[in-house]
Amino acid sequence: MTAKRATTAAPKGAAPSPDREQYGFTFNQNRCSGCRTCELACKDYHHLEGDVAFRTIHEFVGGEWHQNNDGSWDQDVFSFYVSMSCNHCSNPACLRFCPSDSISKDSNGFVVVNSDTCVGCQSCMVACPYHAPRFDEASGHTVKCDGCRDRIEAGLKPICVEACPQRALEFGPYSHLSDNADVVEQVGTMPSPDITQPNYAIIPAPHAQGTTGSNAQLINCREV
Amino acid sequence: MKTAPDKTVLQSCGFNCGSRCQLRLHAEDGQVAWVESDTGPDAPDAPQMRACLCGRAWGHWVNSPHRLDYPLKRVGPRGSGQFQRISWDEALDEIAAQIKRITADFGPEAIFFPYASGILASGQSPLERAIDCYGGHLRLHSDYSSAQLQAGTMALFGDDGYYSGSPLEEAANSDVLVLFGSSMFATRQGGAAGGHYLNQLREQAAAEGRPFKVVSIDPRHTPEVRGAQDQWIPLRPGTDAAFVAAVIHELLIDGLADEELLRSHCVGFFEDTLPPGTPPHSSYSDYVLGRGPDGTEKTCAWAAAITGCPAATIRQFARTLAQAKSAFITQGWGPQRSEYGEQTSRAICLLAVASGHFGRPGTNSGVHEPMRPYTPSLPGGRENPVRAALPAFLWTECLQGGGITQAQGLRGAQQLPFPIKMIVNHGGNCLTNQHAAINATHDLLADESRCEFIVVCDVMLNDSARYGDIVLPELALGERENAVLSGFGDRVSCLRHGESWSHFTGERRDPWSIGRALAERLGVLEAFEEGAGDGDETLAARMASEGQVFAASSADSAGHTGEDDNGKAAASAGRADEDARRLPAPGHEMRALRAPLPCAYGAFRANPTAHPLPTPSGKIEVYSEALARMAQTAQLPDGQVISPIPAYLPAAEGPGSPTAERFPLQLITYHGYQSIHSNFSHLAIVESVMPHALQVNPVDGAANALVEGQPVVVENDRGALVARVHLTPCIMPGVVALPNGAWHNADMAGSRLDWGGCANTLTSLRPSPIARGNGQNSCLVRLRPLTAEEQAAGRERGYDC
Repeated sequence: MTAKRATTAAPKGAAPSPDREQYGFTFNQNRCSGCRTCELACKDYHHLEGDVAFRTIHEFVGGEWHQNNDGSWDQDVFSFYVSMSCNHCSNPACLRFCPSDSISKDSNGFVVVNSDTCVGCQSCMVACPYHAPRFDEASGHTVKCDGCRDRIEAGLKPICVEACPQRALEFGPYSHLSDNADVVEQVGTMPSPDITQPNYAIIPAPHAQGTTGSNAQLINCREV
Repeated sequence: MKTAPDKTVLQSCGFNCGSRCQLRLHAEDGQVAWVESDTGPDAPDAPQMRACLCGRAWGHWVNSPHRLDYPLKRVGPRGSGQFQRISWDEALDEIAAQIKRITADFGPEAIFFPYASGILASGQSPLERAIDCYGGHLRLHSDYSSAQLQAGTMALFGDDGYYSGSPLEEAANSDVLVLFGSSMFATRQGGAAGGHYLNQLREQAAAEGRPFKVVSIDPRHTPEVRGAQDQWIPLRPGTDAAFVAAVIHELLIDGLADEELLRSHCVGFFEDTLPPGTPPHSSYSDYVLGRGPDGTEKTCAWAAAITGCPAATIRQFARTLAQAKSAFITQGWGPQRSEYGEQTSRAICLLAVASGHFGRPGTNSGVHEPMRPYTPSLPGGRENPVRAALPAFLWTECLQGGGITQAQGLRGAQQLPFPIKMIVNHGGNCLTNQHAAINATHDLLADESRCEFIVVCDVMLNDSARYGDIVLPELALGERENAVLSGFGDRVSCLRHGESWSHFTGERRDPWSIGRALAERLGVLEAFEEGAGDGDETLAARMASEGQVFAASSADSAGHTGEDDNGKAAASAGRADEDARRLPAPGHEMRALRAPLPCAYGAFRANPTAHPLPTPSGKIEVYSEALARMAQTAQLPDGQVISPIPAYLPAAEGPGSPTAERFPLQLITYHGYQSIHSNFSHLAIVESVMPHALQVNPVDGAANALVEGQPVVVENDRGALVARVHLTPCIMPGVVALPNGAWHNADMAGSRLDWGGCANTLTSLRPSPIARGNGQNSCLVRLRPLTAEEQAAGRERGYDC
């Protein structure tokens, strides 16, 4: 992947501090087993109740079944997973659409919600093409992945990255992570990265790329 | 600030999954605020012991609402879950009195410990040790994991298959990995286990430009099928032996089978290697070539109709095997968990032999990867004087009528003198939830004239615990000071000294102190404590015996220690011998590389005369005279047979069986990520990330007018459960699947409709013919929408329907 592509929307809000780097995640799709450990570790660490989750696993499946005359079945089924949190976009739609200016990018480039001023209007949830912000019924405002900023400041990795039993997730300065010809920012039915310039790089599984990948269906809508 | 907890506690996740992942519990105000795991050095051959989602949910698990805090005595009917709190003295006095009474009236054979693995990380159950010191108890043989495979490989290779396979590391020399019903990601979830290693194998091959193809033969599409070159071959459950017969047929007629190996190392593959006196045409080759008693040639077309796998795919798979340099053929334990699992497991192993991918670098024998040595029992105590051993699955049969004989699978005695009169269920959920036919089993357990007394000792009030007359609450492994050894599936040696911390424990007790208190009441304290003592002495004895196993299973006798430094356990290499012999202090662990394991049967293949197998003939017994004899004497369920060769035998509940007219779908269970057997299944946080659901192919979904997420009744003559439909092309049409371990949840005095979605509400008590093992994956069902009445009942229970 090369440098960030242009976007038609005008950036708004603070960029990462000049002396700090924009952080982001990578996801190695060839390693992921879809086990949800990243999601659970996040919920455990951030004490997220009920359906609220900062990271979710999207299960994509493609292919068809066809029965032969002898009763046997032909199929060309394939599957791949996408583990996704907030992508801490360089041009976040949530930030642009927040009427109370409660969303900002911090000095590490994390997109953060100020819960003191968030009015819970959920505009950000509608705006985000990745469905990252979630509404927390208990507090009445929007909550989302903050990149485990406390842990980053303490020199640790985000809890999800440390947790993955398959070592599929990585985290670091995004310019380093994305400086790799093999990574892409869009697979399956994910939105175009041109919209918000996500800081999320995927090392794609073979079937996730091209027309094949875009013909796959997200089959666990209720879980994400 | 979460990065500065009150205390970080080093602990282990000690369930029976094959791993003992590291937990670092962040304790605040006596609660586990959150869980971290291994963040130390991570090397390909010394991987971090990262916990899976279950370990990460440990803080939610330890004080979950089902946790047992006080001794309980049953006050309602058995299984009703009505208890009152009693004192430890009252509980233990009653248990000791019952042990004495039942041993005196019926003999020790009337006391039974059902299969349980909750205590596995600490070795033998101390309750069992106490009873062994007193009068002993009925033994069991085999287990619920792989009974049919054990019996199958015992006939074929002369061993039970647990330790004889090639380690997965051998697949570094393979170009094809064949998985029969095996998902390393799902069954070996921990970060130091097989799933992680499969990723390494794949990446290593890609980096070196070597071919590495994964072929998964499974009714479910699993994430092991990932690369463009990989292949999924779905088969109807229980038909693997038919698939194998057709592949071997294909290899034989094309001259691609390893005939030399089949002639020199095997008995009864060909007619001319049958044992003397065997009826003609009993060989496996005559079976597949159509010269056997059934007169049917086992062509690809024949197998296609049975397995649902197209003939062309079978042919192509035979070519893949023939062209492979080294194919590593392995099987999970799902395929053998069927009525004819012995046939399935033996057939898969035979495929490794017949294709020549056997006993040479990069190959396996067809069994699961071998287990590493794990937690030993404490020294001392007294050996159980009872010789009679019941197959693990047959205790319900024993409750029905008693008098189980050798012809029904009993070992060590001709016949049991009495049926089971007392059950001691320590750390297990196999009374109902993980057994089979829960409704029928409930009726047997609820009848107090059959089993007169049931003791349960556990951490959770699970469904089996509800049947206890006395229920004892124990401290979980991870909440007490302990010594824990790596699991049998971990790729690194580790000995960890877990710490306790200040938190609410009610009246839960350490299992050793429970056993000790019982031994005291039985008057056998001296024998009980022999070699193991009490308190710190017991821990020291445990640490010492585990230290020996650690040394024996590590790469070199020295190993190396890793100090726990600021909450980070290190797996750094290169400590001196003296350091390694020092056992870890509380909150510390030591690690070492694993000792390498050899390729399965390499020595036998190279020289069968010098290294014979432990079979009667010393060879691979494709035709087993022992099974031929057993076929004459065994007392089998109606219609069941024993075949001396690994032929395909159709199950009573299989595709095309008469029962399929009423119940057209095959139900299988699989290891879901959301539980270790039934542990963790009941936690809201787990359900929120990985909901239990019934996997249904969209083809069957359309035929039954099902929509995604809809609750549906799954039923057969044995019971009915409610599950939510998950439509996915990742399961074969005609097959539906539930993750195993969901907690049974039914009004047993009323409708018995299981709202928990526990598959064993539907599975059968019909044992397999040779092992007398559990065949839960031979189960036919149908689906229907909930009735209005059921919907109302569900809503009353808070079920969204």
